[in-house]
Amino acid sequence: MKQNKSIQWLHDQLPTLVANGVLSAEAGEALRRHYPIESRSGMPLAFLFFGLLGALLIGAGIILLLAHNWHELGRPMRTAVSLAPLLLAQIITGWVLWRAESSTTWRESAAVFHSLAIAASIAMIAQTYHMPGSFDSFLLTWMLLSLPLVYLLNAVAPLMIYLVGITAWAAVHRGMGGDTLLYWPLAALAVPFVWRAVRPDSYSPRSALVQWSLIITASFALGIVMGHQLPGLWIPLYASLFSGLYLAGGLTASTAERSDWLHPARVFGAATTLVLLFVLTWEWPWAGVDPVNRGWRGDVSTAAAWGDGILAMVLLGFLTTMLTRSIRGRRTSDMLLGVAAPVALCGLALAMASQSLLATLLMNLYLLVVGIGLVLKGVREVRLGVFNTGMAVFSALVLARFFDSDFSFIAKGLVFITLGVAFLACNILLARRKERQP
Amino acid sequence: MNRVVIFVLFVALCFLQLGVPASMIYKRETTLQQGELFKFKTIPVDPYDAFRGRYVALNYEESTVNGYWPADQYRRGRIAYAILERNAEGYAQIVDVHLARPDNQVFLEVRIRFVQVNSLSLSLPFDRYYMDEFEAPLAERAFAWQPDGRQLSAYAITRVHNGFGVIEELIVDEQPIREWLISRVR
Repeated sequence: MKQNKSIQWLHDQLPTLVANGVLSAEAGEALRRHYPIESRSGMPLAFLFFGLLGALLIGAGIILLLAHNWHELGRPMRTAVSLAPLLLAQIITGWVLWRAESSTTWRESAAVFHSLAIAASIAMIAQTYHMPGSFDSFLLTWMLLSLPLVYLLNAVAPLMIYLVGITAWAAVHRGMGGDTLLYWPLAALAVPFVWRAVRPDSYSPRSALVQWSLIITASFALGIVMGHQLPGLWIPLYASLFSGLYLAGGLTASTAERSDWLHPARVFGAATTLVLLFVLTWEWPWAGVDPVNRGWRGDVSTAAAWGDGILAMVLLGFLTTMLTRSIRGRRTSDMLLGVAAPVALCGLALAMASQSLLATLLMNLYLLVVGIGLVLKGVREVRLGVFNTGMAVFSALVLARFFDSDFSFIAKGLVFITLGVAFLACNILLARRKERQP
Repeated sequence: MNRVVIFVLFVALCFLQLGVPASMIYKRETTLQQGELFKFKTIPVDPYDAFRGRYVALNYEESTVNGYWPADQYRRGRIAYAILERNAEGYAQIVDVHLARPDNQVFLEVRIRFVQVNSLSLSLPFDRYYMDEFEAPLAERAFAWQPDGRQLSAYAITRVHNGFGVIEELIVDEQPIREWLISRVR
């Protein structure tokens, strides 16, 4: 995108340059040919957006219309009406498939409408026959019936609906006291599509969208599916997932500078690792693990314990692989955040030995090192983004500890001002340095 | 993939997508036509479902069964089979709850909600009655407030077939709920 803007600027300048005699007309034309403006402009994307929005609104509208409950129609008529949206959607999708439609807008919109039509039909039948309120089984049926659309239409939007849907299923099912281990096979059903969508060109918007949906929903699902049998297990599991993603993003990143949102694993991994570490600088997560503060709960379910064990092995395995590959690839600067999970594990060990204060201290020290490390990295590589992230981490840590303790308002005020001045001054210095660079 | 192969797979998917709602309809229609009639005493209240609309939630007297139930067997969330009979007034009564599917008795498949020292709480398969979006809250309010302070009777007419139960009509003050509501509004 950035490059396209520059090319547009060049094209705007060419007539003036030729007119002023800076370039010959031939040279101007040669430049114009050498840097063509890519036709991949905003238009198709706008079509796609409005197509999807239209399908989403119409589908949701049908669901709401049916939810009114047309009592006057009588049971046979209502049953027929409830199947109508599904049939309509099937005809549209069938037409798109038969014409082997290559337009993304058609495929994505048809798939979204079809997915919502399935929900509308099942919901209206549930209403006609006063079916009991198992929202989880409704979601599960809907998701399983709509997943094949992702593959047949090669569409991303219904995949996003599916990923959100199975996560919602897990949340609702868990709330009703059910076992949620089924989430993993359900998620695995989406893996072949994700694999195909992400591999060929990791930096297309389509691939980024798939990665973002998968990473975000899986992060929520991890918290829902975890058995919560072992106190504090969430700490190493989340630390492994987030920092592992950060490392994986670094390993697959290309050298070309692209916008952040095309690097989902890297950006999401870094941001969530920092937030998690920040949370762990308080004492409460560790105090909850401390055996002194919790009575032993006898009701350990074997299935959930097994599930947790497998989850822990998979996530720690993922992290170990990423760490070894990063070390072999000499990505030493990634290690700063990459070792978050091992450090958190040390914290957990301390907390389990009733040393939650020591665990808190360890995390504060570690985050302090991370903050300063990022600041130094930003200065060394003259990268304002990294520098500011480091400064933000450092300031957040100082401010948080400051509010914990009983300093006077004067002292607090002075620290605020000092941090603010330091922030501004460093940014100005770094910006100047960047300008001076060729 | 070949276009024809994709299309054939798609047609198969369409049949599956239609088959699931069709089987839901079939199972309930069979129960409504062949099932045995039971009347369950109930109290209606009005909640809301984002997908399916407004309904009156039904609380049944019969959802709590007295007696001693061993908590290690009667666990929360487990499927159980409630043996149905009719009491002297003609209302449905749960006389026993089995964990194995019974043979020669009329029974209803239920889910165990929780176990207490001397009672068992069950969730019956007809916990809601869907109504028009404007009528459902009206019905709940009309039921809760009686001008003459009289206690209204309400019960659900249900059909039970092979352990499967479907609600047929909700009766308030000896009238179907919509008719009762219309007479009240007038």
